[in-house]
Amino acid sequence: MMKWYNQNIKEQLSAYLDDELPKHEKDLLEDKLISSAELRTEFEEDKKVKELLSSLKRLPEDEYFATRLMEKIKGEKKTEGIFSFFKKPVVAFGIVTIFLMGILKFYPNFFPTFLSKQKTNIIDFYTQNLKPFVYVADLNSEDIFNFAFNNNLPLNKEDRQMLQLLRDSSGNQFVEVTYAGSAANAYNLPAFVKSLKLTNDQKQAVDSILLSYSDDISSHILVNEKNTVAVNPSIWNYHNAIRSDLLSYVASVNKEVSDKIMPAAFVENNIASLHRIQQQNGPDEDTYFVFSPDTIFTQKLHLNKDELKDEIHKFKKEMSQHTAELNKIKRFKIDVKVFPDEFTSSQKMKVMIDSNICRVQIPQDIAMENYLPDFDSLNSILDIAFDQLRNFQFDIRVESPEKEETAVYNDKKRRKTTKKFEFNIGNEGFSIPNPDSLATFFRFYFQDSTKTFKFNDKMNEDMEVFKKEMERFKNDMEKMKKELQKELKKNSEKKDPIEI
Amino acid sequence: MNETNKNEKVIPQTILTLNDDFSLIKRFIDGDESVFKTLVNRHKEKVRNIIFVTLNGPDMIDDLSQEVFISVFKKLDRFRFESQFTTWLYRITINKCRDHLRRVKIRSILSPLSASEEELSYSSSSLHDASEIQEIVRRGVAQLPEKLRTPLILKDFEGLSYQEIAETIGTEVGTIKSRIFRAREALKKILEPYKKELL
Repeated sequence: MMKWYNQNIKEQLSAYLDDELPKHEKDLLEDKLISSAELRTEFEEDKKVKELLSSLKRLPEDEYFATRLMEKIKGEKKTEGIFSFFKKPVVAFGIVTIFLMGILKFYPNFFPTFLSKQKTNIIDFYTQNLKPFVYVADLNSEDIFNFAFNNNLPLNKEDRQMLQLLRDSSGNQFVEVTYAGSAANAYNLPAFVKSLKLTNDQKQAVDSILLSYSDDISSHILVNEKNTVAVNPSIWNYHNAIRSDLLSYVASVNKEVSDKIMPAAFVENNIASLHRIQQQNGPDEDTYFVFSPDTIFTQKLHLNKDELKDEIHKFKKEMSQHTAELNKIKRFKIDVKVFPDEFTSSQKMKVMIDSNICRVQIPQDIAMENYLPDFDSLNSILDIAFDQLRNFQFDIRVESPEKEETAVYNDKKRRKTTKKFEFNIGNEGFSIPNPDSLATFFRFYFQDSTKTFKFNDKMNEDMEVFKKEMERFKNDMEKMKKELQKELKKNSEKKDPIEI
Repeated sequence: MNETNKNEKVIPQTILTLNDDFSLIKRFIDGDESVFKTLVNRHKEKVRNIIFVTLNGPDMIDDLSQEVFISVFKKLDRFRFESQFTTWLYRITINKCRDHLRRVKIRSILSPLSASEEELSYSSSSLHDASEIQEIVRRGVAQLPEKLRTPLILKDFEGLSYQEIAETIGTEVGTIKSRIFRAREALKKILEPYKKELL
């Protein structure tokens, strides 16, 4: 209360100093001032503060301020005079609308043409000077093996940038550019050679098979100095062709292994069919997927394949002579990172973009299935065979001890190994890395083809229990059947003869 | 008749021109833009000084003063003659200062070291010079919150009445009375280290 009173008095004192108090309040305060020394001190301090403020130095007069100001106003008025009309939003909007209507009336194709021109400019910019991939990376047999077997091709080894071929469960094909992709492949060419126990000559033969595809791959991947990568989707054909060639070779040099890895559906004719894929480029052989730093689009690039191959040969020749220059070229960096969706909304293309991945689905009208009806089944056969081959590197002993239960196929085109199999894994700590990959294999050979088996002790025990349960169930059913038959017999005996 | 004529005083015909703010504004509204310069010359120093004390520095005085008068020039035809021209002019000035300080504050958030955070760095023993005292007081005023600073400047520096300040700021006289009192109390606290020399 006292505090509030003091505050109020002080406020009155401040107003008194400013001569802002009504007469009666002024008289009242003056009386208090006479009687209170504290109030007088307070008043003196306030007075001093007021004096300090009122004595603050003024700025020296600016004589030309008005002249400068008037000049500025004049200048502003001039500019406003010209544009003031346009400053009204309605007027500006009206003018723009009339202008656009005029353009659309006299040049109806103005905007489509304009947009198309811009699009063409971008496409021209990024597709200029596209060169075969060999200009930036000399593919070796291991790269090509990985391309065939592991579906990836290094675009830039230093930056771990990869081109990957993918297929989803629905069979859709994809081409993917991955930045910082996986560096090492679990199953590579040395592992392949080792598992098949290939001799040096055989290894050289494998190398020559792989390298024979180098030019074809190079001509299906084009690059330029603007960090553009153009990929022809028919590169999928070469992927399959290399696989078929490798399988043919495996079949020819190692019959035993070939018998173990080939699925029963794999007939000799398949290899020939697969070879045909190589020649068949499809109707859209000139269509390339172009991955550029700004966007991604499809573009028909009319290239003379023979000239391109000649160029590749020429370059390779020069390359061996100018190693230093080659190193320079090898510094080429492909940096596909950001793609606005300008070109991705096309009905044909489906693009998936992540920070490190750009994946394009090959449209149905370009995909191989459309003009090679058996492509899909052949492809899955290759997948199965390669899965077997991948698993073959582990020492899995395959035998058929229960011969009497084995369904033997006498058809000559089928292989004799199409029997019931059992896996006996010699090493105790050993486990099959991916048993599911073998499920397809077993599903095919087992009489009860819908079951997927996992090969471990627990499963075997479960199977035994299951068998016993089934046996019991069978007996119960037999029992029930007999009882029912008895019942039926009784009923039929009791029935009165039908009177006619 | 002639005599009558002789007795008649000849009154010279003169045009009476009123030179107060309202008359000048009326002439401006009627299309005589040349009077604006007279208005500017009449009030420019007050505007410049308010900006100087409010911003505590000479940096932006010219630009802000020009901005104030350009605003006045653009809006003068809408002046309603309900309050004094100076009240209206000071309101525009204070608003311009507020806008500027707001911009400075935003900038100071981005760059932590700004002039507004400067401490009063004079030692009391060195306060011999009058200009130093002036500087201390100006900085002290600059440290006051804007709500307290403006009424105090308008009162003690410009000598406006509480009523005029209330109209300029757009608030009640009672509020102005309270704010000026609080401003003085706050300023006394700020200047406490220099009490001996100043108060």
